[in-house]
Amino acid sequence: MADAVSLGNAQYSLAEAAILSEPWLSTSTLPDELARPAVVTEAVQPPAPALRKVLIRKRGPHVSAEIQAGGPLPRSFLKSVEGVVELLSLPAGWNSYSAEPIAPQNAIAAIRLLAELLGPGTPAPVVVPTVRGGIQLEWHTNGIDIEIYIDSPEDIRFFAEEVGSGQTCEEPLAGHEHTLKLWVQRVSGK
Amino acid sequence: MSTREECAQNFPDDPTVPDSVALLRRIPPWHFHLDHNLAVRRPSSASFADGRDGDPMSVYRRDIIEAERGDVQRVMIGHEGYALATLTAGQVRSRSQTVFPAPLPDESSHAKVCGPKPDGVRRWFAKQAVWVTPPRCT
Repeated sequence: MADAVSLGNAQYSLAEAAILSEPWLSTSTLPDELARPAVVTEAVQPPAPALRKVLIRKRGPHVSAEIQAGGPLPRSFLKSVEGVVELLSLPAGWNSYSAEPIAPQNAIAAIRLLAELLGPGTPAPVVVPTVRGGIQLEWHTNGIDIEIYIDSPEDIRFFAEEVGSGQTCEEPLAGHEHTLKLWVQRVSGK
Repeated sequence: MSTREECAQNFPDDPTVPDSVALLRRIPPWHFHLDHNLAVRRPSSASFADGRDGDPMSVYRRDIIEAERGDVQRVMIGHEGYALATLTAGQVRSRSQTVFPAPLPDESSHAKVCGPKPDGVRRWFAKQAVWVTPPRCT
């Protein structure tokens, strides 16, 4: 049975958002291309239930996300998605300099990636907006540093380092999904 | 991203700016977090990127502000919740950046830091930066 979760603006808790954002879902103002379903690739076996659909919609200043998955989603995933959705409300110049608003397609790419990486017990990453409309996901815990750079759905890279030994890995995501997943598992202490 | 050649032509390094000069950078609340490995709250590498269309990263020169008997907090006016971090001119130059004074009508200390800023350079800046005005505890 599919689980559906809706996430809205930051003023609501996850539970509240799940209820309050539902009426917005029928009043999309985004172009269809931004509300397309996202399909999880099969390159990495997802530890969490596979996503069946990700929809992001905007009504005025309010942004909501609807997610359908094949089972219960980890709390760290929901927390991370809430962080991603919050970023979509940032206006141009949000860094006090000349930053661009966050591109919805980058938010969808981030959510898809989070679904593949976050299992039960995986800590939530820090979700960071970037100047050119992208998103960074960062972990700096358990002696591991990981930064994932989502500049566009086609340009995703990551850097990982074990702080104590200095072992590092810096690769594009494409073709290295399993490597990234192993690093994220190390953040979880696995 | 600005190439070294573009920076040398359009934003050349000013050798009269000593390496010891502190360059101030505002950090928005979305860009600082607790690094559990270092046990410090520090800026994200995303804080040290060039602007839209490759416009070089803006900073403020502390030496100019102090020469005018000003307070560095003047660059924080209107930016509630932001923090202020600093790198030295020598640090940014060590990563192939130029320091180019670019005074604004309302801020004489404004300068540009020009040069390629790949992920590794931005990560290095984030770990070297020192707080002038740390983030408020939340």
